[in-house]
Amino acid sequence: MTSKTSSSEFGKLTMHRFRQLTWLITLWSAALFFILPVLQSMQLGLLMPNKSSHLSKDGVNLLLADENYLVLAGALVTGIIAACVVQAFMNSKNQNDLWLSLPVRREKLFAVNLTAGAMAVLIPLTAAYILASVMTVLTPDAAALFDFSAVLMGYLRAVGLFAVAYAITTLWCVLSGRTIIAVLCTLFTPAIGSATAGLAVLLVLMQFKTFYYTQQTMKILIELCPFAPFFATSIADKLITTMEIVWAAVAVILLLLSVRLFQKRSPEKAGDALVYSKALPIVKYPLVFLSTALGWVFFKLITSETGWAIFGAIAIGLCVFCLVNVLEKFDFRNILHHWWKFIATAAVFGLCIGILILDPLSYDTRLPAREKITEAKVYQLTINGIDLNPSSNFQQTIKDPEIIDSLYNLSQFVVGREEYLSYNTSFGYRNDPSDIPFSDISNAYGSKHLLYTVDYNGFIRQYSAFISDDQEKLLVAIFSNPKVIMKTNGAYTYTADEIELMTIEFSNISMSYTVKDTVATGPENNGAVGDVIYALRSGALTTTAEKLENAHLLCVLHIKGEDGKTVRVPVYDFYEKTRNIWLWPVIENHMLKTDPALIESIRVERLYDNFSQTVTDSTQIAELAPALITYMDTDYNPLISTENDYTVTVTYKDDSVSYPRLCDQQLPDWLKN
Amino acid sequence: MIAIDFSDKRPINEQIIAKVIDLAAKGFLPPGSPLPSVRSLATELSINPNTVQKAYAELERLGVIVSVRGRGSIIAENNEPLRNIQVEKLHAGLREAVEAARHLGMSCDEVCGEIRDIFDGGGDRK
Amino acid sequence: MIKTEKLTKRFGDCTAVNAVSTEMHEGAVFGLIGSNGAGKSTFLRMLAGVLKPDSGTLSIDGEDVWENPTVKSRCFFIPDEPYFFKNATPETVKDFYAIFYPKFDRAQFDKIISVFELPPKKRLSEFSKGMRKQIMIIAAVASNCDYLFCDETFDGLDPVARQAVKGIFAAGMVDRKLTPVIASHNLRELEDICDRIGLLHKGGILFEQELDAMKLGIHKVQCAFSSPKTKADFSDAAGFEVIKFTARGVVVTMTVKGTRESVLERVNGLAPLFAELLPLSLEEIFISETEVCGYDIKDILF
Repeated sequence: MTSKTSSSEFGKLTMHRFRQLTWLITLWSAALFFILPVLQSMQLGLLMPNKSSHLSKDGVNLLLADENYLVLAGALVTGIIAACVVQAFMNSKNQNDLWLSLPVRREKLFAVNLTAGAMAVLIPLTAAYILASVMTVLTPDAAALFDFSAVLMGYLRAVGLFAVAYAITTLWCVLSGRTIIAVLCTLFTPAIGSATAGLAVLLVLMQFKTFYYTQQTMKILIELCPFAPFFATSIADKLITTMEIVWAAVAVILLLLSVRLFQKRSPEKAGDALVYSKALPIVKYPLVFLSTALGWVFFKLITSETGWAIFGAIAIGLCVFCLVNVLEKFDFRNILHHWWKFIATAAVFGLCIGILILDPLSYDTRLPAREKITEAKVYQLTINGIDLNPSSNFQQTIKDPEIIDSLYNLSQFVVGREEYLSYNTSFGYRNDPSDIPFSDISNAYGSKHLLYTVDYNGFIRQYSAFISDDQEKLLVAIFSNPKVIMKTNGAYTYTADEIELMTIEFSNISMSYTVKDTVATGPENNGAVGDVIYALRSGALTTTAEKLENAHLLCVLHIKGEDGKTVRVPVYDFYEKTRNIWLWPVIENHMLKTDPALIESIRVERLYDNFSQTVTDSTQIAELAPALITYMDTDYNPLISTENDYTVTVTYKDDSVSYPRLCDQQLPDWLKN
Repeated sequence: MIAIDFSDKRPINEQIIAKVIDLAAKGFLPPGSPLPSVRSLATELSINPNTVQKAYAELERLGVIVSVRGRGSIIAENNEPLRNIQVEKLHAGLREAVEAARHLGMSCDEVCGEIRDIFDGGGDRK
Repeated sequence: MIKTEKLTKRFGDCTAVNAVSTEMHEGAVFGLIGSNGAGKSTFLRMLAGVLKPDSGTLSIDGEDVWENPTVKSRCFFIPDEPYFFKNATPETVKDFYAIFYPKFDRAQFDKIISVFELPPKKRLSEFSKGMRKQIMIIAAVASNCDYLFCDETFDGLDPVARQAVKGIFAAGMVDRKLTPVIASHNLRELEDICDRIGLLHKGGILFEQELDAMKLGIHKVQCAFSSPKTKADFSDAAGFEVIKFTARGVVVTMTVKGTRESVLERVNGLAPLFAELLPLSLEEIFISETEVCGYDIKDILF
């Protein structure tokens, strides 16, 4: 055969197969026609015009570009269907008789089918996109807003998703002798990619309180799912775009692999569940394993009880095991024949879970001995979003033994037995705190949140969990070394003569100390406030009948109020105020520069009476500067508040701008009306 | 003209040979007349051309037909082989008839008498 | 010429074709007889390049068949249940096969279609099973291939169609040395058309021979003697093998292997009262042959 003949043979055969797909092309084109041109014309106001609306860039482009979810879903579904339809011939003995007796090489046959299927999906897709784009460009108001590159990206994304779905389904069609199994495997493939790893991580997380884990990990796991990156596009993320390209490249590789495998495939295997039966155990048992793990997680999540989790694991594992065997042989009667295999699989899985629970290496509760710890680094330590990190930055190495003691106590608390801490869910809510404001979490769960990552000479522990109020007090008390105290920017000040009384409360008794000039006098260990607290915590009390070894400590200040009244303010009771605060703006604003020398001007506005004044005079700036605070400062210092209605704009000499609040207690006279 | 009886258990090529000889002997195929080509006979009778080929080869071997370049097979001009075959057949037939007569207990003269009658055109005995 | 040597194909535990060695010469019809499951279809599928042999060699005119489009373009496979793509009509079937077979003759296809009175533009799904088979056969013939592999092709055709197809095959054999290989479990069909027949049983060829030789080498003798005879009276001559022997009184009916002359000579040597040689049908030959091997033909063929 001359090459001319063989290429025209390819062309003719492709056209022949293409014509066989008319029904698919028609359905897909009809669906696309509705999804793109019609909906787009509604977006543009051509259909169902709304006279009062005007077109926005988003409105014009999103349907075709970043939010073309319908198109993506359609591309995914037609990709799977098209692959099944064109490759179905391999699984029918009758069709094999026809196709394989023809004088055509198998690769050619395969390539023809692939091409025809791809044409059937891509030609209508391209046409619909062109039609919608042309329509947009021809609409007078929309033409200027049309973002060609975004729309092109949207189109390429749909093509990429189609390619991935098509390639995966094709590969499964080659690997399996039954179309239904190929489809099931394709739908399960995304799960295979990410769920396996995700499930393993989840299982370990559930078990180990101190397992290190971040949001980034979850993101990567999701990106391992072949279809996910394409749908996640409205979040502009370099990782997502990279994963899309990666998956498209994988699709090409899978197609080439499919060709190779098809060449090796024995035609008589049509009808068998898996054509390469040696691979069967590799697929079967991990599948059962996975579903058993899923069963465990699912029931544990719902009921928080291990007993139910075991039941769930066995029940779901058994069901999937039977299902897999039935699909393989399509013979219901043989289910019981495989009982020994199932027992073996269950035993293996049970062993793994047992090891996880028993924690034979004490991974969860292991801490280095206190004597061996000479230094520590605290990467993060927050309670309810408030930073309690004793170091000014996480690179700093702490060598102070007192602080290390406190840290160690906290660590022991954390790795201790579960009844010390209760969970709102059966495992802690793990999130990278840099991603999500804690106000969200605390609003959702109505409770407090502890997050810490501590490094003892290279031994790192990260921990994050929700804690109840009592537990929070307990933790704070354990950790309340005076030296380990919250940061402020200076607006937080109190003088000794403002403190009338310092009461050190324990969970079972209360002891009162008088504080004067930072010296505390009371029933035990008189001395500097910090020292007294420290001494009391260390259990050096002798006057009380009860031992205070495990006493919970809370320090309460009685402050002399302005009007002479006494205000009882627990020093650590600032959490109440932080519930509705956004963390990021707070942290940003906390970097407030209040040095008058840096300030160019301060503008103060009051909305309700349109009062406004700009202060540029350095004296006035120096007067006003101390009153500049942030919300966070009011959290740290219960003595101050910012209830006034002023809006403040501070312009610095380096042209930067910030928007602090004004402290009620520090308002200069000329502002007080 | 040449027909096959498929229910006859004799091999087809034997039937063809017999039929050709029969037709030639009876004068339906006079010497020099062409036989249908292998192709046309095979397609007409829907039989294997090799069978026809074998039959024709045997007929040629017997001398009943000859193959002529450009004309295919024709009945041989020399009808002596044909005649010999027919005579042979006659002999066999006669032998059988004589044996049968012998079994019936007929004498040679009675048999000859029968033969004479048939020749004279009588045919059936009363 | 098709040549196979120890051709074997296994499906899991079952050996469908077991070390079959045979030859099929061009211009001759080869018949493959066997019951369902004997391995005929598997064997044909290997010849057609649909299945790959597990071991042994298979060559058509010296070349391997598997994945060899050049050789396959000279072969056409007619399966017992032909598959046609959706919405196929005789017209589209013609166009389809014309893509692959370089010598496909469209005019011939049209002519035979009209001879068979098949509507060229009607959907094949509306045809009867027999008519669909006819279409396949016509496509095979029109493709002008040198080798036709027919799997129970004649079964299911009405007698008229059967004769017509045989005639078409005959023309092909003369015109271009068409070599049909026909598998069937119907001896009657093959009897008239085959040059050479092989009996396939449980994957192996039990025996295989030229049909003529078969028929010339075995005869049924009916003879009567003055005194009863037994088998022993006949068994001691060379070139004379008694396969089956029944005696009822003085009448002996026996199936004998040997040439016509030697059989007659032997029988006549015993001075029979009369002796007659009857031709055997293929079925009877088969029964005799396989009974010798110890098989009950009914197990094999029915």
